[in-house]
Amino acid sequence: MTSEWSQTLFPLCPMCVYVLKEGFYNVINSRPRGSRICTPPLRTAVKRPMDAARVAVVGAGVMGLSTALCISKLAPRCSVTVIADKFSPDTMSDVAAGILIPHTYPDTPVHKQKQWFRETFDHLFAVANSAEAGEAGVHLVSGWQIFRSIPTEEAPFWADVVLGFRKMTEAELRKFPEHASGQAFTTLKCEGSAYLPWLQKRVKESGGLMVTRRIEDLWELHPSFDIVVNCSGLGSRQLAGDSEIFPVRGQVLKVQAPWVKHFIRDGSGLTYVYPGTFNVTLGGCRQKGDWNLTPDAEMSRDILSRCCALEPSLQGAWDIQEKVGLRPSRAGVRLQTELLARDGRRLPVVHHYGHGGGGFCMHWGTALEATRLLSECVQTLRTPASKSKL
Amino acid sequence: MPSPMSTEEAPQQSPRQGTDSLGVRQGLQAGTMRVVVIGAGVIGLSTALCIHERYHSVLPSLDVKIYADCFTPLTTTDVAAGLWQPYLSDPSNPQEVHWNQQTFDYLLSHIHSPKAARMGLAPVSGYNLFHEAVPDPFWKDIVLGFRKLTPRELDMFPNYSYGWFSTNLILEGRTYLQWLTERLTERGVKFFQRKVESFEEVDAPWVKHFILTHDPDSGIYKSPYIIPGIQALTLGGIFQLGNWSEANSIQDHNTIWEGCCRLEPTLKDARIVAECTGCRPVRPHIRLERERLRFGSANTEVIHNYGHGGYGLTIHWGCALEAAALFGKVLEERKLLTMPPSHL
Repeated sequence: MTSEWSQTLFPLCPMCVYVLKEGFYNVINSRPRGSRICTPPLRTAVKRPMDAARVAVVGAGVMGLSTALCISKLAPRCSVTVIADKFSPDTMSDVAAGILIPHTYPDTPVHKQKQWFRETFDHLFAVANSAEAGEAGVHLVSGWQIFRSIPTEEAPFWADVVLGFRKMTEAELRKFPEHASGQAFTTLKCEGSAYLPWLQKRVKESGGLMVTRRIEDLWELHPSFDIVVNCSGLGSRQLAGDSEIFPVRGQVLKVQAPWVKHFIRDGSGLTYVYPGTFNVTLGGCRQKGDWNLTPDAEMSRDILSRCCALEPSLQGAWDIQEKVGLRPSRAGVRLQTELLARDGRRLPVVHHYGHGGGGFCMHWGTALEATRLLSECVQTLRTPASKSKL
Repeated sequence: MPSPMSTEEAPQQSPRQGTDSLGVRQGLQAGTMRVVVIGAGVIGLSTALCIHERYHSVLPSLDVKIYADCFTPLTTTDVAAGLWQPYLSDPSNPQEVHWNQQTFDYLLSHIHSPKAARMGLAPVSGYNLFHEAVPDPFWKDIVLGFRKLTPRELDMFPNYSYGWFSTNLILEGRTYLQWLTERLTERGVKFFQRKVESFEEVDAPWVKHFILTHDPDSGIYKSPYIIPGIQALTLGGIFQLGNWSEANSIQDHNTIWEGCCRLEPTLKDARIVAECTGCRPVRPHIRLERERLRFGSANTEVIHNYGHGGYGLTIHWGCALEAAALFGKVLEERKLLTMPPSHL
């Protein structure tokens, strides 16, 4: 995985030496001592056919890795390198419970959200029913979304994407005396701690590379790469100069309570119980603009108390671990191509970030769309007539 | 009739004056009633608890003992996966429908309690699969959210074309017996050792649903099934009438493993943690009735409560209530009750 890389990758100069080692690429810095520190371009000695487009995917969360996989499978003649400062288990995606119950994006049309959710659901459903399910950390889970009052809409846009969606019966609602109505359905859970390594493995099998490196400026990737796919989430504030993306802090508890087989979500989305393969995720909170990654003890007590109100047997939970993640939130997912230009240089960038708390729900659908945008970029690069426009 | 004795604990009676199933022996003193429960599986322990809960306050000298050749974790109940689900066909005795309902309602009332998991109790949803359309079962309104499977759900199970989805309950045999043992011990009930299902347990914590397949030609529980427990997943599909052997059989192991892996391919990543065999006490219908036995000049009441086959956990509490009611009748006939029993 990334340990082969992280110790040996340094900023490069033309004097840097590339060593080919067992299919991985180590970079050794051979600058003389005392030389000026520069930020030279990142070079890779990628074996590729002459006209393969060199794609750098920035970010190794669920967006970066799934986009890298889609590109390596679907985009013609591309080489893919995933570059990130953090890989699983240290990404935001590792904190997320990964339950497929969509959030809504005010700035994205509903039909688009439904399409992305459906594509993601279908993809994960196939994984869940295959022999890879255990390794990929994807499984079915049934449960209830409950409301303190009767919701205005009869059924959400995703009701026919999940399985067996229906209103809860009176008998079922008796389990939740403080709630007036609810919905029962079967959906999927996709656990970052297993899914991300599984994606990485598949990207590598397709010839993709993983590089641990913190990118401070997208221009570092020029001219080593032809196209950049930016999946850096909150990193886009700096890398893309996007002030519309902001953190919504979430704190969760991961506990042992193996008797819990159903999810429970309060309609507000603030309190939830999501049973997974290795633990049960209890949440949560939504603190807009809060960058603090340290767990708050009082919040943990509050989360446990709210979840025990929904599921009293959780009082017997043990091995309680606190985690914090920052949802990379935006009014709408940014899926667009931008052509960066500076001093006569050109660098096409496909932006693919801003999913907030709905990343796992939408990731495959948006990765497919990012791959389409990338394919258009590749096409543009290869067309001689338009080269003059670049 | 034996002469009255002191209020101290009476010496143990000889087996000749002993009992069968639930033995009720004539009190040694007005108001004294000694009860022996034979069997420490779910039926024995729950019947003992039910009787003690209901009659202890009106009969303070009620003395309940449990005799069994084996106790948890060595009983047949310990082998059971513990899914609450009756057989598919209507029982030959219509009272069994009522007992099943009583058991579900009783267990459901404990779901909201913090101690549910310590009882081995949790809701679990899942699938019943068939090769062709079948009528709805008699218990469809007892379980929660019973419905037919949608076409997309059926796509998950290529060998099956029809099915149900419902939210049932798990009552894990081993954990429940431990819990019952604790409750009985708290109440001063004593256990005495006086002198018999094939399945595999695997570690597959990502499976959150039960899956039961049904093959009308084979018969109940002869077709693969998967039942998640609190810690492990049970794989089964063996129902061999007349086989008393409790040894694990390689052929049965293969039948279970291959059948269940076909049903749930993700099991290839599961680790087998245990393999057990139990003998379901099968009978055309449950025997739950009084019988009077004579040993010389002594009259002994026996309350039989056995023959629950593969649905003992599913029906246990309803049967325990019925057994307790029969016990109450015995007390009334012998004029030992001064006030009506408490109804918990």
